[in-house]
Amino acid sequence: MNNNKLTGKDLITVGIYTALYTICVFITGMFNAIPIFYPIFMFLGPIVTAIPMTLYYIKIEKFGMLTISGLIMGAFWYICGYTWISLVCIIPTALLADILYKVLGHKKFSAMVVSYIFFSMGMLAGPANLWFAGVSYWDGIRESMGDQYAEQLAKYMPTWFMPIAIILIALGSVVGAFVGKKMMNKHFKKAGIA
Amino acid sequence: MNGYVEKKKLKLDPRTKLFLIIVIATLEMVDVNIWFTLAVGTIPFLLFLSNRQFLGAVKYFALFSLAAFIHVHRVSIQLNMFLNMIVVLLGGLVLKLAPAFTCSDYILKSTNVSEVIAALAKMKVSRKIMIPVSVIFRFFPTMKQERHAIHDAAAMRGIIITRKKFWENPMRAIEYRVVPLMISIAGTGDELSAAALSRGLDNPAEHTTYTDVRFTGRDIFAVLFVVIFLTSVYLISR
Repeated sequence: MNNNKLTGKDLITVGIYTALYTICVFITGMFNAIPIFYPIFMFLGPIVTAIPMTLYYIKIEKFGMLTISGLIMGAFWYICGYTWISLVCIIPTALLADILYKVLGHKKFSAMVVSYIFFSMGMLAGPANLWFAGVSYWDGIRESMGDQYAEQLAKYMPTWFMPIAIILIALGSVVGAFVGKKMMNKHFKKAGIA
Repeated sequence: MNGYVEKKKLKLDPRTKLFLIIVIATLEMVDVNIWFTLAVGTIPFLLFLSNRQFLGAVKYFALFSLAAFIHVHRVSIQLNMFLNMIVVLLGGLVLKLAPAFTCSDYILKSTNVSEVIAALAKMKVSRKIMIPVSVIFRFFPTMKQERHAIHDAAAMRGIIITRKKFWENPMRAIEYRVVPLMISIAGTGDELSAAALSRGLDNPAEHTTYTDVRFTGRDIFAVLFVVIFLTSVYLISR
């Protein structure tokens, strides 16, 4: 049974860990209720989700699993109201993560870190959405409250937020990968599931 | 004959639900005017009522009308700058995101797994997508239960976000929350795949199902109602 086709077992694994990942994003996403806390989420999100993702990465032996996760999550966030931006953010990054993990070698820690950084970039969907929605929001503000107010507001929600978010996510992912590895050795091996 | 009679619910085809939620998720982002946003927001409310989720309906109604109120009065709100921004932005976010979130809650609560699988099979979705999706559907309620159980246990030891003990070592507290969840889910997952495989999930032949999924008059009514309602609101309010 050493072929590259995804079996039923693999697909169930995809389902379980996609669900776990989504729940973890939800838990940390509580910070998102207030946009100012986005930076915290960008850093903390990858660290928390690293715990299920390390488990997931260990079980991945075939190409395609991460891509399917990405497809489902993209559709899920679209349905939850994060617009087409979620599709654009999540699906390509998941595909890229999948390719990288395949190329660099499955079950290697270094490959996992690189792949995980790209997979986490899907989280940009949240702030990107706010950023794009922000553009029309700015116009509304400018009309109703005047230029001065809008400029003051821009200090708190700057447009250079996106590159910072990318850096934060990358940092968070690297830290997260190590946290995940530690968790793996500390808990999961003991419990016998890894 | 037992005495239990199921209360009447308006049962829709899963495909209709999918159509409705895509319509809502797409339209609520379109900035037309406040009336149109309100009209889009009414649909999840009606769906909740049709599934007898009255408590959810009331909560949603309160939240959504509060957000709409803030949105309408956003110019005249005079608070300090920072607070003002948070309030106005939060109101806007609720207006934009709450309908779709609510709708997905309705779908999760009103659809069971076999209906989802039957509907996806009829839509000719590849099994590579179908199996993970059905697993997710099966797992969300389980994970919610587990999460609550773990939360209760953590609260008993005082590691919840409102207590001091949580902030002494936040990363630890998160670890205590996530790791047990992970372990219990991984265990359940293994059992689930063993059960599913022994029932022939890997069989490439077409699977049969007891669940009958088909469009009925109710679906046509729901779709027509939504389409006519939204277009008329759009045309009148423009």
